[in-house]
Amino acid sequence: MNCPKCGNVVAVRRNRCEFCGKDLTIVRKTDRLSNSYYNRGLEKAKVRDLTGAIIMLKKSLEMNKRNTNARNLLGLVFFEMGETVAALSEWVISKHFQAKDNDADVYIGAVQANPTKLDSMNQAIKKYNIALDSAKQGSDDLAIIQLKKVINLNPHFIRALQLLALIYMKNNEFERARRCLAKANKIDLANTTTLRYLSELNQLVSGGETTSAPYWSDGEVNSGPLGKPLSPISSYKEEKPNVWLFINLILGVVIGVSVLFFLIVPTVKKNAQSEYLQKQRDFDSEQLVYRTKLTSSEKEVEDLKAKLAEKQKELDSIDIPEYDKTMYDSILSAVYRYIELDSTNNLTPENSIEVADLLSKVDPSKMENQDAVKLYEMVKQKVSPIAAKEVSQQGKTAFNNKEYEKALTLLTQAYSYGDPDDNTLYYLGKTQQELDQYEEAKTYYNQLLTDFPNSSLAKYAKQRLNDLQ
Amino acid sequence: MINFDEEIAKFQPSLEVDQAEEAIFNNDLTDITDMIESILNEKKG
Repeated sequence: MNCPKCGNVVAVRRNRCEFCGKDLTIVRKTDRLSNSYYNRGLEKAKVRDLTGAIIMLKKSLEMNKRNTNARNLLGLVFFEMGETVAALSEWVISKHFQAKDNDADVYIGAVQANPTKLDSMNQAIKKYNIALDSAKQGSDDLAIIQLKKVINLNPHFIRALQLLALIYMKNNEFERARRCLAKANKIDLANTTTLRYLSELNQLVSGGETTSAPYWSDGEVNSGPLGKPLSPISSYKEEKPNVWLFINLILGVVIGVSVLFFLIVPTVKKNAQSEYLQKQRDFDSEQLVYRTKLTSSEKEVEDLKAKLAEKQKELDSIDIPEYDKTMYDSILSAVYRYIELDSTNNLTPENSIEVADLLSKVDPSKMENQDAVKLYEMVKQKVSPIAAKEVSQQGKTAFNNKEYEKALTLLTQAYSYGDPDDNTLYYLGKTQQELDQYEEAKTYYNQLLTDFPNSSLAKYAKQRLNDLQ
Repeated sequence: MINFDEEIAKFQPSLEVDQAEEAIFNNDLTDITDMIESILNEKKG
């Protein structure tokens, strides 16, 4: 300990200061008493008997004002009860007595670090004072409003809770009063005022009959202020680590994992397997259907290809005659010439040959216009026999003159006019024979025998055929 | 029975933060040791 006079450190067993000689016997005794009171105050504070703790701590400080621990604890208790200014005062005084290594630095720092909170606490104090004035003047409603705000700002302000409960009781709002007192009781278990009000409340609720004994009656613990039995408060003991908890946890994990591996996993595997097999079966059947479709489609394609080839062949075999524009010019010229000659009665054999020559340039098989074909046939019928006869006659004359080439030309021309008579055929054969073209000669003789079997020239043609063979 | 007026009279106004300085200064920090000292000094004097 430090000597109160000179401040030097004195050994524990010495009753007199080595430096200034002060008698420390009384100081040591008061110190011991102060510490004793401090311990009791600490015990009460731990069990939330804040009122009792304040009493003990104040006594401790009366014994030794320099007991920093007691003063700091007193500040904490005040702070817990919502008495901010009282708490700050104690901590400041504690710092005054012990400037270094003081927990009060931490507490003051914590309060100052939150200026908003400090301001709200200050506001709570101001509103509390206003509410108190209002209550004293009889303005209960105003007081209630203010006190509710105070409690919102500082829920630990016990005096505000008690005042509010008192006003509620005055206005017969017992349930609300009970709630306020319950809150206050939670903060400070053995607050005399709170307990007294609760007792009064119980009396008021039960109709004036004293149904419940006071909280601290004859030292025995009766049922609590709220009518509920309180359990005895045991001293604080550190909980030992529970080994069984870990064992149970590990056991649970092992059982869970075993269940997983032996029950759940096989089932899941089996389900997955059967699902896979089903999918495979579906796939196989689908594949079969597609294969069948593919085969029939391929066959269809082959058939179509064959048909296509056939059609292509047919198409190639069709000889589409080329359209000859000049053909119609020839027939028109022939028709025009015929009409001209016929109308002027100039259709002589020579003129007929002219028209027949024009007609010989026309191939009726290539004509698509059927009217043109009819016209062609009509004109041909008119002029061809005349022209053929005339030209045939000229050919005979040339043959008789031994002009065989000329005769062949003329007779071929007469043949080309169509429908050759027996004379033309006979002379054609003779001319060809004369020109040593025996095969052609045979052809004409045969045609004569076929077309004109009763002709007078038939036997001559037959004879000539026999000669050629 | 609680007398509400008496009870309300028991409630004292709370000190505000700006009044803390004054409260600290006015705080009586005399303990038993100081009292004994003063008694002993009176006796001597």
